[in-house]
Amino acid sequence: MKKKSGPRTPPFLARWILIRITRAEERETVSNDFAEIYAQIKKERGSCQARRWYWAQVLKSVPMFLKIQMSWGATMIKNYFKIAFRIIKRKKVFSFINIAGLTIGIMCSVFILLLIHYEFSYDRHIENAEDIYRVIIQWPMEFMNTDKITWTSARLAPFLKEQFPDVEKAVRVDEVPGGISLSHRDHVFFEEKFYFADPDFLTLFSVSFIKGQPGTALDQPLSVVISEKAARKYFANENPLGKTLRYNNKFDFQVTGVFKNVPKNTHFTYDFLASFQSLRILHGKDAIYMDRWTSMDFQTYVQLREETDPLEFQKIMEQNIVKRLPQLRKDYQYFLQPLTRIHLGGFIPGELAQNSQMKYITIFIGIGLLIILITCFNYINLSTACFSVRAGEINTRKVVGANRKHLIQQFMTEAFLNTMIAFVLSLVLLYFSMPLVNALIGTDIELALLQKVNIFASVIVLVCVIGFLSAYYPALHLSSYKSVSHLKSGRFAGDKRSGLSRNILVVVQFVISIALIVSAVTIQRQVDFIMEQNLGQLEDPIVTLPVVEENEEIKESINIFCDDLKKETAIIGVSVSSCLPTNIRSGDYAVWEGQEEGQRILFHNLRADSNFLDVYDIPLIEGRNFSKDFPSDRTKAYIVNETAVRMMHMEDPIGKRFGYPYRKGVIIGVVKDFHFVPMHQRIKPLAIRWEPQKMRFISIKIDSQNLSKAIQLIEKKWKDLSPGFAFEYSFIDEEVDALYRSERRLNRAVTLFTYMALFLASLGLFGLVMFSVQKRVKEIGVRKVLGAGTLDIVALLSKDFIRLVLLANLIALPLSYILINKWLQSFAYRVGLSVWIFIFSGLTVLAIALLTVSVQTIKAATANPVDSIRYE
Amino acid sequence: MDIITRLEEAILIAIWKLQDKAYGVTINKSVSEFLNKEYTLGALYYSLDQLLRKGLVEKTLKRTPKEKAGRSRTYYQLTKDGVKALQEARVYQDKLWKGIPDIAFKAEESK
Repeated sequence: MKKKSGPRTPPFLARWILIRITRAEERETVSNDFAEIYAQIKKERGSCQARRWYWAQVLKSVPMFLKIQMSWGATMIKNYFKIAFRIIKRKKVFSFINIAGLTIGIMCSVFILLLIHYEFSYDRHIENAEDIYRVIIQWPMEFMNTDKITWTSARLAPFLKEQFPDVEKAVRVDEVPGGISLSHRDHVFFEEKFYFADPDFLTLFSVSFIKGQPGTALDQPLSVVISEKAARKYFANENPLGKTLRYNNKFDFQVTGVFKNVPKNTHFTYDFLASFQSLRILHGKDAIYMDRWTSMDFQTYVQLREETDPLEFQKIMEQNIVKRLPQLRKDYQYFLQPLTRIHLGGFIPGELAQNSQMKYITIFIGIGLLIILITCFNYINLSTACFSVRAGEINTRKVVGANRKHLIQQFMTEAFLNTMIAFVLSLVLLYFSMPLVNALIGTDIELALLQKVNIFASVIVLVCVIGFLSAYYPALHLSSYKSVSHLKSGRFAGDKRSGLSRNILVVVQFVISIALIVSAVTIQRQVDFIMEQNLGQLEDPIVTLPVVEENEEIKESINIFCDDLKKETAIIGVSVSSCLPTNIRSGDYAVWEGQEEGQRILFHNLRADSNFLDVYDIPLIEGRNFSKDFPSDRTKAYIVNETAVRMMHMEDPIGKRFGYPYRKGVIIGVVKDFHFVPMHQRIKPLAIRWEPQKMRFISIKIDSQNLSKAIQLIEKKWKDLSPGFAFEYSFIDEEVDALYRSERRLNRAVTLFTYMALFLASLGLFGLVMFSVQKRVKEIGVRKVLGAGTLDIVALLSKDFIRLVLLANLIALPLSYILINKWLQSFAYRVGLSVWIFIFSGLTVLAIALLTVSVQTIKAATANPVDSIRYE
Repeated sequence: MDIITRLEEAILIAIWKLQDKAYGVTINKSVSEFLNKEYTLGALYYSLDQLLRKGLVEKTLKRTPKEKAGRSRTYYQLTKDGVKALQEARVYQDKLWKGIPDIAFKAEESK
């Protein structure tokens, strides 16, 4: 019968609601019941009343119908869980592969998520972090690959505070490059985290005090506040307040406070904060440099008022500094760098501690996404493959009335269950492996981060996304088959289609694995290359000692120390210099004979004695070394490097006039180029001068046979000579190491995740082969009966998979070439990308795939055919 | 077995009384009459669903003959358990009321 139109039928919208909220099997009868009463009321009281009744009924019934739905839903989900558990129990290998894959995938991605959270959490614990900025200067000079510096004049902070009402606080911080010796009675230690800071520093950086008055702690010269850790180190259980710490065996600092250890996710951590006024006492008459606008040596941090627009302020500051200070160089530009962006802002010369770069975060995010992809693909592949074995169950469900929605729900529940098990497992694994991973890739991440609500929430979201991605495709795909066709054959008619998509996923997985291997190998080779270039020529170990040459006394004692050491047989050479040859960071503009108009070259500066070239095995190409025979060497002589000669366009450099406005001299020698700046940069022009002042390092070359004896000897002599100084030494290769720490970290991280990715991909392949063998077990049996050998069968089964891996190779190799080449471009000196890396990576993956496949295929090929075809 | 609720009792009695004419509309009508309260169909279906799960009623889908608009209806019958549950409810009720004279109520009502 046709539907009656107009008001004779129940209201359309209400009817639609009714249909939406009732269960499919009751839908018709329920709406018929409603319609019947509606018709009756309409007959008795008119259609208006009836409509009203219908609406009221439907709306009032909504909660009840939903309750019915939910109670049935719960029953079904209970059933789905039951089946899912049964499958885990029955198909042990399959479930193991599935859950292991998910576990590793979740583990890696949760770790990367934590890592990213951690990297972005830097300095956020500081109150008002959003309003705090560091002043950086852009100057017309490219130094360490950037034209910015964080060094500012000591005058800047007070100037900003006085002149601009928008500035709430402005503080200066000064570091002690190379570190200092601190002592309390007979406790002598070498300290690197010693800084000088204005009193406002304590409130600006939310330093939380345990003892002492934060308001006045840094007001007096020669007062210092120390961290809990430092307090324990020097004073054990005594109360540190009022005690003294002796600075470089010369100045006594009074402890005026103890603060809680600074969180590690601060862009620089400090154990000692001395009052800024102390610097005047430390430097004596030299302290006037603090009053010059031109001596830039200090960090300046400002806190703006909450309502101030930083960009606006930056503009005003810029104009005012230039306007009011005509003596300042006009080509310096002042910028504000937000505190929270310092850590990921990349290295700027002057940085108080090593920071990181956005680039590395991006790489980690990329790797994380790839791992998620591989994990999901694994699950998808295994599920679709497994469901062709499970066809019977799915068909039965369909026959007894499960519709597509039910099947999707079922697969989703299964995926959810697997993901949850994997999640719990991965947390347990992470808990145990965290220290190891942290040590390996040089991070500092705690699982306790998960206690923070937002982090935990994002982890849960991540896990849900993995679960959903894994389940979505199989659920959609498998529920779409018509049941009749596979009831008949017991197999899926659409097997070919799912086979193709499985193949694509396998190829993608292996493309990712191969690309990662190529990257890992290349990064490793580049790091090796760096080490070799820097230290390739050194055969004997070199130990370096930082020293502080503040006055004539110390200088004299250093000279005695060096002369003493030279007499020892275990020691090959001793040299004193202002920098280590691995990392020279000071520079100035030079003038030279034949300089063209307008030509300006920034020369890196090194002050060293006459032994320096011998100790570091730096070969002279032309001319001679510094020598005692020429007294004028100490005031006039320069040795430059090859690059310098080239850039100055000098034909015959020896004897040419060269120097700085404040020290004019001649070139007496030319050395071969060596890497004194990180290898990201081209070698720069360098000028070495013999000027025994302000020396900072002693380099001691030791006969490698007598290493430990020599070090003991050095320590003894050091202690004899300067009891108030800590003995702190490091090997030069450690210094080089530290220089490329982020490359090493990247190297280890990429290697680690490459193993994971490879493992995951192999796991997936293993599962796929397993199913393919299971499906073809009869075929194999028949083939064997007809005379096929083991090798034939293995070849038959492996062929398809190996083809996929080969295809993956074809795609991955050019792709990885492009990617890794881009990374290598960031180095001025880099290894060549040899073909062998690609061949090696491709073969490795192929070998692993073959191994994985053969475990299954050999088993299938050697099985007795009688077992498999008996039951036909 | 748990004691059934008053509404469930009313529904079971209604189904029993209606015999082979027990479907949504008629059950709702009788229940509303018994309990003197208009029930929404949703509430009724929920209780019917619960009874179905407890196994006290069973349902059959019947198509009414063409001349009656060709509509399908779900008819309900009591199962053995359903009958037993009704009997138990009755026994329980009798036990509760035993020994209380009607007089007491008449006095209350006259106030």
